[in-house]
Amino acid sequence: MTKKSFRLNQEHIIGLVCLIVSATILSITPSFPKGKANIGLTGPAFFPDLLALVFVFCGGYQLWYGTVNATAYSSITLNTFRNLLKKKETRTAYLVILYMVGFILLFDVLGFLLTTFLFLTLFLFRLGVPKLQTLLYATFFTAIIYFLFGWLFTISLPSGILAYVGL
Amino acid sequence: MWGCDMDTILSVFRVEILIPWLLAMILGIFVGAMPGLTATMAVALIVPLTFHTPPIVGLAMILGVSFTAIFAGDIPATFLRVPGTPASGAAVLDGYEMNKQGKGPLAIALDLTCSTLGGTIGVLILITISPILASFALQFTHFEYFWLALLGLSMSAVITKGSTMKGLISMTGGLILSTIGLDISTGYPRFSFGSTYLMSGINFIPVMIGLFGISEVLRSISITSHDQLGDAAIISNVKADFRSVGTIMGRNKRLILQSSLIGTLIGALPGAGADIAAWVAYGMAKKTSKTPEQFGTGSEEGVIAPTTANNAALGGTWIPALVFGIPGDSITAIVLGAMMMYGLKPGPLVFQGSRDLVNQIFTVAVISQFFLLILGYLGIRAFTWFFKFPRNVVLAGITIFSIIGAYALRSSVFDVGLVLVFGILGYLMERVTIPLPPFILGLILGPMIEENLRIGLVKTSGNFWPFFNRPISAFFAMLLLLIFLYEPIKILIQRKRN
Repeated sequence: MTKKSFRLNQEHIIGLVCLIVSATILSITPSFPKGKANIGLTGPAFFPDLLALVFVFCGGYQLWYGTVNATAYSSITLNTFRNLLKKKETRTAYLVILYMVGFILLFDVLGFLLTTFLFLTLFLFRLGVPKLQTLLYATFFTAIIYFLFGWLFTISLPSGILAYVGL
Repeated sequence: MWGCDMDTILSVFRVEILIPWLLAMILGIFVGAMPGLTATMAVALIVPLTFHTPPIVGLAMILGVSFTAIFAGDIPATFLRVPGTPASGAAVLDGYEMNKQGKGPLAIALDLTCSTLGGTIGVLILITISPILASFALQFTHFEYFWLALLGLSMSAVITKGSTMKGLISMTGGLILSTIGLDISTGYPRFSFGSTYLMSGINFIPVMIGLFGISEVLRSISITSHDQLGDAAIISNVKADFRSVGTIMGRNKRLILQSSLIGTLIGALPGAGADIAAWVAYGMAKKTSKTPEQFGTGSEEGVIAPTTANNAALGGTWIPALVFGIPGDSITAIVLGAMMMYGLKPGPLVFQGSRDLVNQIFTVAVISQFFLLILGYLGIRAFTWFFKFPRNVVLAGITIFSIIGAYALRSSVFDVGLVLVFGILGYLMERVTIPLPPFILGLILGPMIEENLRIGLVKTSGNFWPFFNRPISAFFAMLLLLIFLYEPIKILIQRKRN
């Protein structure tokens, strides 16, 4: 009889995430105050606790399902992530996420105009748009959004460092 | 009933309503026809713009964009064999076959006319049924509302594609997210970790933009090769030929009515949207057809049934949304959130408290069908140009509109962060086939479920029995049980037979 080794697959990961989330909830809610007239069921912890229990059930099921149907799913190892990083398209997706993080961090500092233009230039260039077209599209989108949100709907968009030059 | 007097009709024909409404419908055609971009995404993109407009302007924009986006998805389905939106999946089968036989212009003309007709019938059923259901819903108390919201949510988890368990996980995830912020009853800050942003709860708009907008951008980038990203979608000329449409439709009157009714009925079921409606209508049309063998080979009936049903479903989705405050699909989930932002509370009382607005919504929905016919025709003609737009530029446009749209909500970079977080989450969820609509429905319906459950329990001093012993509550509870037990029972019966 051959001994089957345990292989982690996506169903296991979903199950584990459910269990971690429910454990986190159940560890926080005991500090919540009790409900009216000490009826625990009506307190602020009742509903999150109930949902955490549903998640425990879902997590348990997913772990069982992932094990029983292990052959239907490819196993996830460190190599899975390494291979993903090697793929050019996935790397682009990660870079786009990084650009968005940069956008969030720089938005108030550099202001709307500079951050948006910079973000779009990097984004479009990374997606293979030729240089001149990248600049044209970046300017076009920045101007359209400024017109729509800043001018038409009078939403206050941060000026950032451009405030020093009166923009 | 619908108070469609001249004043109501004229009230929506004001320039400040008409221009954004028509512009939104044009945007709907563009987004809907771009393969990979959904009608939900079109609505998600438009919603941030509507916060700075009066409610009727915003709702006209949302209604218009959804109708045109659903139709426009059929254009690439017919000419490219690529459905523009999931709702056009069934339209591919015979539409593309007709195109291959050189009857593409006829197929798309038939499609547009049937979409308009289906949409009109769906809206007329909405107008007729909603007020009747609303007066019935006035008898509901916390107990019934709790079950109704839970029923709607559970149906969305069960009906959406993929496994029921993953639907349940998605739904519970949304519900858990809805518990962040000040507690509705005690004001205690739950899971806010001292953050003032979290204390006010997680706003559904950035979540929705992230889940449906950014996740789609990430998905498109990660699966499309760089060379293809710069490609235009289509090169051939796109036309519509209306010459024999009247005769064909005259021959298929019964099918049009049948598909419209199926579409509206399925649309009214929470969780089942235009895509499911189109497939069911297609299946029913094949079953009831005298020539079922022609389906899949360029059958006119195969074009009529799904295209009529997917637009009819849109009217249907508004029935539970307006009457009970329970969204019929992800689009009406967004609509409900938007209505709450306008200070409106969807539910039976909206027919009394905001009667004028409801009449205006109905009027807009009917008139949108006429606009759909005109804009759809122009859209088809413009498509040779539309499809030449490089995909990477469209993706950049969607990303920046999503980000700034979320920022515009509260002028908060925190909301932009939420867009990114939920964009990544949505991308991961789709990779492991967890459906997104139950998540957003859970987030929106969470407070309603919790509030009704807890108020009900306070009233009964913690006794659950009144949740089951009232006739309507008991009926809803039984229905809920049936929904979850249906699949296991079916499997058991099949196993026994085998």
